[in-house]
Amino acid sequence: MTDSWLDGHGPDKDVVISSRVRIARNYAGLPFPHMMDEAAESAADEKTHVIAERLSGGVCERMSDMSPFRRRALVENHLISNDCADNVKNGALLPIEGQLANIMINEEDHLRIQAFRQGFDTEGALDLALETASAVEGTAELAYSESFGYLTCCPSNTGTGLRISAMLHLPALCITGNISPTVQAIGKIGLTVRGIYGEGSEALGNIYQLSNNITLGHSEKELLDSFNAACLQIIRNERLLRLLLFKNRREEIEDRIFRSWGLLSNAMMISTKELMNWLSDVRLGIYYKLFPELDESVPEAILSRALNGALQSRVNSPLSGSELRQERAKTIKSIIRGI
Amino acid sequence: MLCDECGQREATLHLMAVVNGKKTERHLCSVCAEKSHELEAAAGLKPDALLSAILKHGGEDGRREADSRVCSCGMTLERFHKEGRLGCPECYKTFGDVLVPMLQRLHGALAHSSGRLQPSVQDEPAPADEKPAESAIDALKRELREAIELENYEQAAVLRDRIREKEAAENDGFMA
Repeated sequence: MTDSWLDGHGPDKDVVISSRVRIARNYAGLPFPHMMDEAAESAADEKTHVIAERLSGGVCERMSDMSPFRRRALVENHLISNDCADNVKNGALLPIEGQLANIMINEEDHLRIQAFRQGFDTEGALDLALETASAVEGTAELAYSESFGYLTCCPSNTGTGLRISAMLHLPALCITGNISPTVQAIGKIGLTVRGIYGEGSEALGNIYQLSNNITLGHSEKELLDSFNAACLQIIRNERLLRLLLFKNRREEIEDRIFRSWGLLSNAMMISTKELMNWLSDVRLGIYYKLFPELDESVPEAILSRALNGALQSRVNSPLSGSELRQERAKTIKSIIRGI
Repeated sequence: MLCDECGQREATLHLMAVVNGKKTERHLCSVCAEKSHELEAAAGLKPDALLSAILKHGGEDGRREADSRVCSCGMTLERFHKEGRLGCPECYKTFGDVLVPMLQRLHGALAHSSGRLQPSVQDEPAPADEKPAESAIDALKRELREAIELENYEQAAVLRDRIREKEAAENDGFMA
């Protein structure tokens, strides 16, 4: 599985960029990662190596062996969490051989299995995640109780340890001011919606992550079904509003899209914030079929290669703010031209 | 108004929480407030601080006993309240009676429900208790331990509340 695993395909890709299922598990008989002493760490390490032999061809990438840029690039490509990237003490990543899946080691829990799918395919992601979890279960004894299910470090994850999420591009909901009501409605059914890029309540690029909060008292299938129902509703609303926008405000929207396209493909220095804003408009333009010559994989390729971690990882050295903005612009141009 | 905790100093911090429609109030003097990290929890607004604030005010009847339980991994209730994270799988047994109502609030459910095959986990047998003549409270405490061993956390919570009531009644009688 390469860093650039997203290439603009998948079911409902016009709204859903990708789907992910995360399963949290812990080793039986050991403290959770934040309470491990050296002895516990070694014991956990041994168990992890057995899993690596079985599932990742023996590959266990330690965070301490990676440059900070590489770790940041992995976060940018949604392959690991910030907590995993920051854990240079004993964090690691097991890439599952031949699959769009990996296992984060010693994040909040000993094992965080992740399965990925392009577009709206939470079911595919869940199947893959459960398959991987099953394989892990055959290799190591896991912490489990009849009452609480799979035991996790934070009680908010206990039970199934399951987190289903989807990355959604919601420009029409944002432009028409319908994000807040959506967030509130979603909150009432045990799910959350939050911006992926940007600080705090910002949602740069109009890209949101929808995920479930509840992990106990429902089976994996039930959690999947209620998640999918909510996601479908959001997809419908977004598509409806995109249609309305084009119908009622066509000139304004087209102008906005083409301006963003002009800047994205011609500016010589581009900040992350500018990239995210312009790219959101260009994605919408692709949806409206305004860029027939542009390859569908371009937006994902840009996000994979033109953010700070990826830019610095490629040259393996830090870049100043000004250099980053220049490199970003160059990278974007080469991607657009198909180089 | 006197402090709920020490009953000696004047209460200067008044906390009111509404959880699931139920209102609880706590009144603390500055000394006890500092000791109990209430101020951090109230001012913090970090998710774990919020969680710990809900934990404290949710099932309380106003008088809080210092719970000195320590899990084999070193985790204490106080630390869990502060950090929002447990220490090891055993913590679910050690603090089961506290976790059950909390999980009820978080997930709206208690029982784990999954169609998947589970790995076999061997529970340790309950240690045999020696029994000299027991008082009523001792009997309840023994039942509480047994309920926890059997992972019957709802029963454990009921027993815990009855123990508190009995101990409170005894203390009141003593101080009167």
